[in-house]
Amino acid sequence: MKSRVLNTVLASSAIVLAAAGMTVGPVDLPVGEMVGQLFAGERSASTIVFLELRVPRGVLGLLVGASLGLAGAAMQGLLRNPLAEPGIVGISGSAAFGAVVVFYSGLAALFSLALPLGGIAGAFVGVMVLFILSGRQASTLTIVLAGIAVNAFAGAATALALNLSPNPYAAFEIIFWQLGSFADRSFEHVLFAGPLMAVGWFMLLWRPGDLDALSLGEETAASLGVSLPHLRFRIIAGASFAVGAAVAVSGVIGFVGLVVPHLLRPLVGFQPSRLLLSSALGGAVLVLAADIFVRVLPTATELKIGVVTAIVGAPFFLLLIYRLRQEEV
Amino acid sequence: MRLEAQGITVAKDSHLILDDVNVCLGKGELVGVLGPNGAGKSTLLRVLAGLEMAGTGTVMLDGQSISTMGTAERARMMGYLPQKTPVSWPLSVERVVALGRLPHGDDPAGNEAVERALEMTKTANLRDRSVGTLSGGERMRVLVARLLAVEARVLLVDEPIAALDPYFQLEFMELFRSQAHAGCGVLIVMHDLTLASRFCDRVVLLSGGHVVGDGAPGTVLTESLVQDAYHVNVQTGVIDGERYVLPWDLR
Amino acid sequence: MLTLLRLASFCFLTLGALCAMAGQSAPKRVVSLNLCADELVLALADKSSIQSVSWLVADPQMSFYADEAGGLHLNRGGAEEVLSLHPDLVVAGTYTTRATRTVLEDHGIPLLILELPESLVEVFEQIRTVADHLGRQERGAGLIAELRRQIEALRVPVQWRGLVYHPNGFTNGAGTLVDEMLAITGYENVASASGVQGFSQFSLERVVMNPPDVLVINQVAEDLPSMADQILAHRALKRSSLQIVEVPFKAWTCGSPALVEGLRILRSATGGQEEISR
Repeated sequence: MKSRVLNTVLASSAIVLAAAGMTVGPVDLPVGEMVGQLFAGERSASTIVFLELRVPRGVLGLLVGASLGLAGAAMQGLLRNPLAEPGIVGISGSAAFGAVVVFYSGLAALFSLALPLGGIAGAFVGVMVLFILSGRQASTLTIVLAGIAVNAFAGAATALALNLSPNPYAAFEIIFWQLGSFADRSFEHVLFAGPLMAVGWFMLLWRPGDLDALSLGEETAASLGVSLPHLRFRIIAGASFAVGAAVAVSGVIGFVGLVVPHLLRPLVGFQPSRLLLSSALGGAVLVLAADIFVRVLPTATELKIGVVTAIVGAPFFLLLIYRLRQEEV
Repeated sequence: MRLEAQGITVAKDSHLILDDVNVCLGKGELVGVLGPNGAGKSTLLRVLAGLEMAGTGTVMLDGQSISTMGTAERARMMGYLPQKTPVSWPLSVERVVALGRLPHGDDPAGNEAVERALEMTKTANLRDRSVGTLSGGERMRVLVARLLAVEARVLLVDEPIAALDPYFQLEFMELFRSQAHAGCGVLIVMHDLTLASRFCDRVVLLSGGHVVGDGAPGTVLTESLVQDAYHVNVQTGVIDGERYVLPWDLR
Repeated sequence: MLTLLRLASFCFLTLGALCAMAGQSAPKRVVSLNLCADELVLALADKSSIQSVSWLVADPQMSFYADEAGGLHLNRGGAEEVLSLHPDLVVAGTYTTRATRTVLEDHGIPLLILELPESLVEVFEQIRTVADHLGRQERGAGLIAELRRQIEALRVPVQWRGLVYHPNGFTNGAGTLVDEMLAITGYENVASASGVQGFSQFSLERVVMNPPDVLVINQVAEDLPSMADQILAHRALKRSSLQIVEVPFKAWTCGSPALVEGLRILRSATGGQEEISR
């Protein structure tokens, strides 16, 4: 399938879902009346709900989904392994730890950019540790094991930080950090996390051909003019920015970076470079769809979005591992 | 076009892999680099390609040191095919070959170069096949096509034919010879003494990190030099004016 | 002669029994294991009969009774610690650990469990119960009367809309003590009016759509950030013009006399009158 066609379909779906998501919520908004008010620039309870709650939620879903999908595709291209995914390899978990430390220490209250930067720093450390543990082109087993290690440590550290926080509510909020949610997010979150996610996207989408060359091995890639140290740094830093800022405002939403690239890979001829943009768009589609799902589900408390992506993603993950182990044999 | 390496020394863990090696490659030349396993052939190739840093010594391409050349320019001038090329994703043959155009960026002549490469390696009919489904010989042809797509002046090839059947071994040596005739300089690391003798314009014999022979195949692939380097006795002779060198028994 | 002896022994025994009962109905080593129990014990018991209160009540941020607890042993509620204090009455809450409760039962130590009161009626009943167990019935009755007086002084007819919003979007709906407190101080509880029962989530969207006149926030601790508090700083709430009043945690978490302070604060948001001295 031509990239243009695929990306147009994905982008349109994302826009449709974002718009649909803005019509979903606990309150029934009088759409006609509200649209009129919006155009007239009037302010009412409905427009406030729409502009300050629904729209930021939709925008954030789009940005976070794109970041997760893109980071997943880029990491898989770099590590040459379809199991590399920010959640599985522990980058999201490390980002959560970074964000939690910044948030509960009160730093985030001092200046709001501190929160996504904390997430980015945490993500960066997580990636570095992963690389040290698993090496440059690791086998499936090594990557999964390294990811387990990073996740275990990051998760424990996060729980510890939350329990040590003097605020009694902190310990209960671990559910947000580990399962993710877009509830009650505001435009402020979009404003301070959005640009940092965009920095990550820029780094990940720059020179996509490098990842293509890498599919022939490091030596061939180097002979084709790819600077391997630069590439590695770019992907690591880019994934840290994108995932770090995303997790800082939405908690850990797992499996997006696994499911989306995997589904789209055959549609882009398995080419890592083409997969990047498509995965970003596909990630946005998946997250927006999941966010609509948690809001229409008739539960007393809104379900955390990470639960939905895990229910979809975990079986996927197991299937992938199974297939890859067969191949490695 | 002239590639010159002088005084190349590479050491790893206080063990000398290459010791003061000089090699040169001129336009239109097909040079074979031979030697026993562990002689440093692959390392030499990597140093020439600029992928590995030599401890001492210089590599000059047309008078310019390759370390001062930009990565992109070097990638355009020199094509390299390593011994082991994994292909991580089930890419189509056409895509793999097209990767050879990466150093040239988005240039419109790219498609034609890819087509030519496919033609020369007779892989055009495989273009939509996934690389993972190809046989060993087909795969090698595709990888060589990728190399040819770069349209570099220098081709550095590391043991391309060792795992191929006799048909493809001969076909590839023909292909490299025709590349040399078209104006490239081709340097091949290989093991087959007879093919080297028949196809190469020059042979460089490496042993224990040193160059023990550098010249026409007839002067380098002599019984005594081969014996010293490989520790095997050989039978030699001439058929149709071409010399064969057959490893016969252990020394 | 025999009859006289029998009469005398009977009187003696009865007197003895009465004395024993009198002794039994006034525990001398009261140990309280949770914050709400602490407050009632401190309000009702003679301080010399209190052996220990929980460490929470000594924190002025946690309780208005922090000063009263001065000089008392502070316990952390562990079973071992409690046993070592040799209590003759232990007062605890429903959330006190099972382990501690089991140990006390095994040792035959009288244990009074206090549930969280869901209405003023329950608050008064609880004060009576604790007073009975402490042998301070008069004091209990007096406290109840005083509370009634103070509450009535703050009572106004319902005329404003109010909503209590806790971190993470929780609110107190119908059938809760806080709901009753709102009604006393003149508020229609937006949550109960929307059908919320008990302590449940109330979406921020609904708050914006049905804005109260006064939004009451449960202030947990000063200057300590939590995700939960973020909601309260949301732009959506800032844009809706509503008055925000903070009631500190210690003013209404327990059904103790401290709730009058909570009522006072609620009343002050709508221009309430005289200071009720605590």
